[in-house]
Amino acid sequence: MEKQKKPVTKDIKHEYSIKGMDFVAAGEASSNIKHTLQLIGFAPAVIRRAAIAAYEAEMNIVIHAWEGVLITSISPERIEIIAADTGPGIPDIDQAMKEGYSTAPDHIREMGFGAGMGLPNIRNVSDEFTLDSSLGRGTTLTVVIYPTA
Amino acid sequence: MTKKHFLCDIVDAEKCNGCTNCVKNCPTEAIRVRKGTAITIEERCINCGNCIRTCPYHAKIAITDPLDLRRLREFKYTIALCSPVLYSQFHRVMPPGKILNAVKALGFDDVFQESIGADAFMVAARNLLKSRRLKKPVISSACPAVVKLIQVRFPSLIDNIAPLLSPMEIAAKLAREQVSRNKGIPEDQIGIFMITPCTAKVTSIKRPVGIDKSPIDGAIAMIHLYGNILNALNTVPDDSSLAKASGMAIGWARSGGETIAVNAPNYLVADGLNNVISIFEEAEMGHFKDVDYIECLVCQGGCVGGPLTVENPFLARIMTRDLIKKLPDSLPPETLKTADDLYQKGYFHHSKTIEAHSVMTLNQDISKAIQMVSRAEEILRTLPGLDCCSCGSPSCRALAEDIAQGYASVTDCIFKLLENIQDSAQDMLNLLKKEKRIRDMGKGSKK
Repeated sequence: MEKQKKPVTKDIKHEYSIKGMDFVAAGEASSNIKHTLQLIGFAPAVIRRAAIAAYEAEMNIVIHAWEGVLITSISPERIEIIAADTGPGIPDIDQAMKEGYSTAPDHIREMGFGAGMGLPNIRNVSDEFTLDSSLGRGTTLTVVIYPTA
Repeated sequence: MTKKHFLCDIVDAEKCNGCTNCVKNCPTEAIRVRKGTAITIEERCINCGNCIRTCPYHAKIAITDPLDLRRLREFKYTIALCSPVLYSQFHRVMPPGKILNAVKALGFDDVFQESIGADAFMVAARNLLKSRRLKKPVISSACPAVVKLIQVRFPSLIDNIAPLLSPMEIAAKLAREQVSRNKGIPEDQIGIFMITPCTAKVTSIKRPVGIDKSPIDGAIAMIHLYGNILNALNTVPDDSSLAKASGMAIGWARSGGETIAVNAPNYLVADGLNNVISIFEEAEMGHFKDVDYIECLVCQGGCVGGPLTVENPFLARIMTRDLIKKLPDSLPPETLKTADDLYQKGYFHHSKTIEAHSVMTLNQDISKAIQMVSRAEEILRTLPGLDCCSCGSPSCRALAEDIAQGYASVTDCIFKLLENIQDSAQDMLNLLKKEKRIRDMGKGSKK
């Protein structure tokens, strides 16, 4: 509804597909998102928050899901990042939100991932945070950052 | 033209043939080839010297003070400030006192070691880490190209930079005060010239960060002075009174030396521009929260890899190692105490905050910038994606961004140009065919 007040500024949308266990391309989507935000010229702190959210969300898909997408929608007033995957889903969201809790298997932890900080970190950097998950089907995470807030 | 003055390197247009080697190797995409010559987008340049290093035609030149040292005459008393890299440039280990004396013999009244500044920086950095007031990880401010890289590409890490003057600046400040006190010469009549291994130091003298005016007056490229120093070395004796810095401080010539001196519990060392960039990418993501101290140097191997050095950086590293084995590890305790007192008085601290230079932005107006990003993405989809650099921009993506900003046109891409030519050739052909048909028809009707 807010968008209709200012019809001049269209938001810019991107979609990046991400494959589970693809550590070769892991991080590319969030790095592209960060570059776009830099070109647009948001404040460094805003870019950093959005980049952290995008990176952690991307890595969550790589580590836990089968495949997924990062969808970003950027306007001067609002940065939205949706991470939607098909995957095992999160059995206990409350527990997943606890710092240090992780279901990542040992071989993933040995690579330095799965510290159980992903979701809590994303929540810390976002202004709005919504997590929907259905067991055996997948997870959709929506993060909103208000650059001017 | 005054603005140009601040770039530490220029292009010799006669030597530059527009090959784009520098364009491709610039870490901040600051160079373009336009009309056959490399030009630098000044705000983006971090003065790393990569272009000087990679130019096969030696068309990129560092702007330093002239070799004839004519600027020395502007001052009543002149001091050469010597980088510790200098000691590693002569194929064999020589006493620093001899090398410093050779530099002095070139026409300076006095010579000081930059490493004295490193000894003081070490005291300051240890204190700073103990105070725990800074955001972790603390990033060293010793390499001026690293500081500029953060300002330009990683502004969110500015608060992590140690708010300390660089060893070069500290050494110059101490030298000026000491000479003024001992010789009774007013501070503004003392000229301090840095014998530098790198371009970043040159710029940080002309346009300092964290202070209003640099305590150094000029810079001379080590590589330009090298022949003269070699000659002087044949005649001058060792003067050990000139060489007071500790071995540990001289060890800063190569990467890791600083970290040994600062002695942080959990540290990280990276050298080489691409490695430094990848470390900062990770640091921005908050990955090094348990790291206390980061020593990053943009030149491979550290300062011994500087673009204005002579010796192979790996050999220079060995020379540095062999030299410092022969020197006392640290300064005498009373000198360290003096440094500690100065630290407590804020003597080594920056006097102003470091600014962000968000120069990657396409437009100051965010709405316009978003439109430009959309436009650049549309353009990018039509480009071949070869990143061949023939257009003069570092990649197809960069060209698309340049076009969206109005700095370039689609036909700068030789493939698009070819397409256009083929299209217009086809058009011409079609036109000719059409004309011929009309003429033939005319002929036919006459018959």
